[in-house]
Amino acid sequence: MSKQAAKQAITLKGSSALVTEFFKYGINTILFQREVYPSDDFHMVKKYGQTVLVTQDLALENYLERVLSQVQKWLLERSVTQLVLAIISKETRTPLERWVFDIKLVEPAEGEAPAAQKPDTEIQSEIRAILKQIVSMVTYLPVIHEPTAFNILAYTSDSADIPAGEWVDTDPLAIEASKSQQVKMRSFSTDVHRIEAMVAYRYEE
Amino acid sequence: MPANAPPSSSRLTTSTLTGTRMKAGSSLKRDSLAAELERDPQLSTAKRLARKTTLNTHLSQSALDRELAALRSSHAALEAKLKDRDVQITRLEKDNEYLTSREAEEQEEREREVGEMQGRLENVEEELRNVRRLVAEVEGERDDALDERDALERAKEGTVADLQAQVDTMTGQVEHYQSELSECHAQAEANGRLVQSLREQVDTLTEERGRLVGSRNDDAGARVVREELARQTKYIRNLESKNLKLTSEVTSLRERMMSVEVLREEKRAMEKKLGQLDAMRARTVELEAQLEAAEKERKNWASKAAMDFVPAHDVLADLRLQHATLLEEHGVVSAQLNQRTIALQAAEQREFESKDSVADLKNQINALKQSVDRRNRAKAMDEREIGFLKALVASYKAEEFVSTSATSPIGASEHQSDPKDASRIEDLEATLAEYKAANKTLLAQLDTMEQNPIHTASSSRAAKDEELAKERAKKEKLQAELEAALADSSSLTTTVVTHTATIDSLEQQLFELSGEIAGGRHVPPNTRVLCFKDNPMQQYVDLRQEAMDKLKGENEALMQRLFEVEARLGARGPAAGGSGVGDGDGMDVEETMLVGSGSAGAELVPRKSWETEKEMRQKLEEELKQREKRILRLKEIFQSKSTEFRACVTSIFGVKLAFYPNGNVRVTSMYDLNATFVFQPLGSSKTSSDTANLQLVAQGELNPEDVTDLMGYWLGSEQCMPGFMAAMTLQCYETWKKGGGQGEVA
Repeated sequence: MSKQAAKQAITLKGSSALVTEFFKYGINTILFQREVYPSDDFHMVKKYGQTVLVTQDLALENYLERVLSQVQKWLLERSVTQLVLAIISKETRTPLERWVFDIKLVEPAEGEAPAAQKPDTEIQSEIRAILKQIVSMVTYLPVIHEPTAFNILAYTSDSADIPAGEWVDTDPLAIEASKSQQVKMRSFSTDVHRIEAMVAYRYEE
Repeated sequence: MPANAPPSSSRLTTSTLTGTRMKAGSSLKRDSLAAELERDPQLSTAKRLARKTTLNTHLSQSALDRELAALRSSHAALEAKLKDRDVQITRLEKDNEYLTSREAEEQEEREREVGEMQGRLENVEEELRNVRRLVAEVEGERDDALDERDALERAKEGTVADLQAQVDTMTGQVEHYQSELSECHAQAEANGRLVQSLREQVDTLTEERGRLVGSRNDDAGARVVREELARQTKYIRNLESKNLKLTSEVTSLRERMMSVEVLREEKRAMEKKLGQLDAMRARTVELEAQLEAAEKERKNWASKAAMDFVPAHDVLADLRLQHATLLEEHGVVSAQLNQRTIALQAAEQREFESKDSVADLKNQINALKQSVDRRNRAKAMDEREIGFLKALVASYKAEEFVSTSATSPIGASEHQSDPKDASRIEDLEATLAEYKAANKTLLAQLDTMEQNPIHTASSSRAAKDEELAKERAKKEKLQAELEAALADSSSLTTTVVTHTATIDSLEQQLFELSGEIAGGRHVPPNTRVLCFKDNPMQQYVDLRQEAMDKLKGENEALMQRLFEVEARLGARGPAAGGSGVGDGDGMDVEETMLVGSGSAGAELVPRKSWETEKEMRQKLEEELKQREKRILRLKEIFQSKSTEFRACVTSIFGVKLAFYPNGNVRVTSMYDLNATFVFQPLGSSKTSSDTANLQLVAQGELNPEDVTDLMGYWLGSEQCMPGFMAAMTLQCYETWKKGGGQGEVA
């Protein structure tokens, strides 16, 4: 019985892999839905019990892979607190949207018995809900009429191990307070991590 | 011979050369020598040798001398040349010096000229500055003058108006004077006429005097005439004096006229003032009228007040009287009211008392009712007791009857038990009597209590009051507690409300703060914001920067070129400007490139642009090459694959396939090359899906009889092309086998 429980319990490694995978599909979904890359670049794959659009652009794939592999390392080290996908106007270089994924560690309170293991299906359904919410966000986010590019920012702790030359400190690509609006989105959690999604966008009347 | 050989081979060659040269000239000498040689051959040989050497030396010496002479002459010539050169050099040096001096002079002169020019330029600039200053001053002056002119014009207009007025007045005066003059003229004429008439009279008188002188006879007449004459002269004098007086009067009048004009002016001014005074007077009159009206009103008021004074006093007295009566009435009414209130209070007291008595009576009634009830109950109990006793008596009687009727041994025991029963009955009766006595005493107590109801009521009331007071105190305490609890609960509800409000505000704040973080405006402490160095945005920015740099370079080159062209055009002036751009001087060649062979100027592009274009073109060409190479490779692959495929088909199905670009397919049996069929796809489209519906359109040189049956069966009735082909293959194979298996198999 205990063996089975141990088998079902998710480890830090497994949780990191799951979260990283979610980031991959989440970022792809955002890039497709917000038309940062042409729709032809994406193809459908089956994931989390639904179809998800994933890029076929080799350069982009390569970039995402490199970024996410590093993020996974940081997740294992517990040194990343936030991952932000910023959509930026190509012309003016102003940030238009910031898709923020807060990464929190789930730790049971002192003296409290650890919660029951969360079934994989439940995690998947939560992820599915977030992805669907990202898709539905398009209906009320402002329409972007200009060509855009994107960047992925990682908020890490000071003590994080950073590969020199590959990752650099950067401006947080903030949206001015007077023109910023935000919407809190769903969240999902494994037994180790809790991911809370939020989108802040530029809204000018 | 080698021992006699000359030390220098060069000399030998020279001597032999000279020897051969001298051969013709010394033929006679040789003869004598030959004679000597003939005479003594032994000696002659040595001599000949010696002579030969002497001759050689002589010859060489002379040759050397000659050479020397030639060299000397050449040396002299060279020296002469050298001298000439020297002379020339000195001349040239002189020229050079002269030229340098000239150049220096020119330089000095130029410097001087430049200095002068600069001086002049400075002077000119100074002058220019002066002129500008002057211009500015002049402009200022001009402005002043314009202002002055305007002022003057205005003044002029004023003076012109004044003068016009003066002229008008003058013309008026002139007219006046002219009229006076005409009057004077008329007077003068009248005087003249008078003078004329007087002269005429004088003439007539003189004539008359002459006549009278002629006829002086009559003294009396003469005397009369004299008198008349004296009278006439006197009259004339009078007239002249009058005339003088009149002229003086005229002049005085003229003067007075002037003063009259002045006076008129004054009068006009006075009249104007008078007009103003009239207005003032009208105003004064108005004010006076107002004053009068006001006075009248005041008087009216005063009179009215005087008239109203007396009745007002009466009214006041009446009012005071009324007031007094009213006060009196008020006092009476208030006294009555007091009495009434006292009566009311007494009545209330009475009512209260009667209520109390009613309540007491009610209580008494209740007590009586209760006593009646009790009596009734006691009566009923007594009746029940009587009934019970009667039943008991009956039962005793029955028992007695039974005991009397039955004489049995039981009777002994009954008799034995009789004292027990009797004692029991006695006990019972005693208890009953006790109960009755107790009941009686209780009833008596009750009656006494009812008889002294006041006492009991008072005692019970006191107790009740105490109880009530206790209850009240308790109630008040409870009320106070309740109020305290209510106050607590209200304070708790307020705190709950405030807490909910703070929770709401904190939640809002939390949302806003999370928005701050999400918007990137706040970075949590001890956190680094990192991004991948080679991110898409950076790539885009780099690309754009590169393009921008390129464009900047091109632009700079273009600007430079433009400046140069402008500078050159400016230097050459408009006359040379037409052909300036295309002239290929050194700078042009360096900075621009000629592209194509059209007209000059238009074809010149900056080197930078050209290089950029070239680079881009090279890139495109490379890409094109790569693409072509790829296509070629794909074609090759396709070719090899198709060959493989066909070979495979040939070996498996026994037919060779050939595909034509128009979509036709030629099928040839590998066993009979004459068995060839051409199929055409049905429909216009040549896509692969349509190849299933092929149509036979031609056939090779086969025996029609062999084919017709097969075609009739497979294509006509079965409509199966593969079957037809298979049958054909079989047939061809049979034929080929019969033929010995030679030839057609590929």
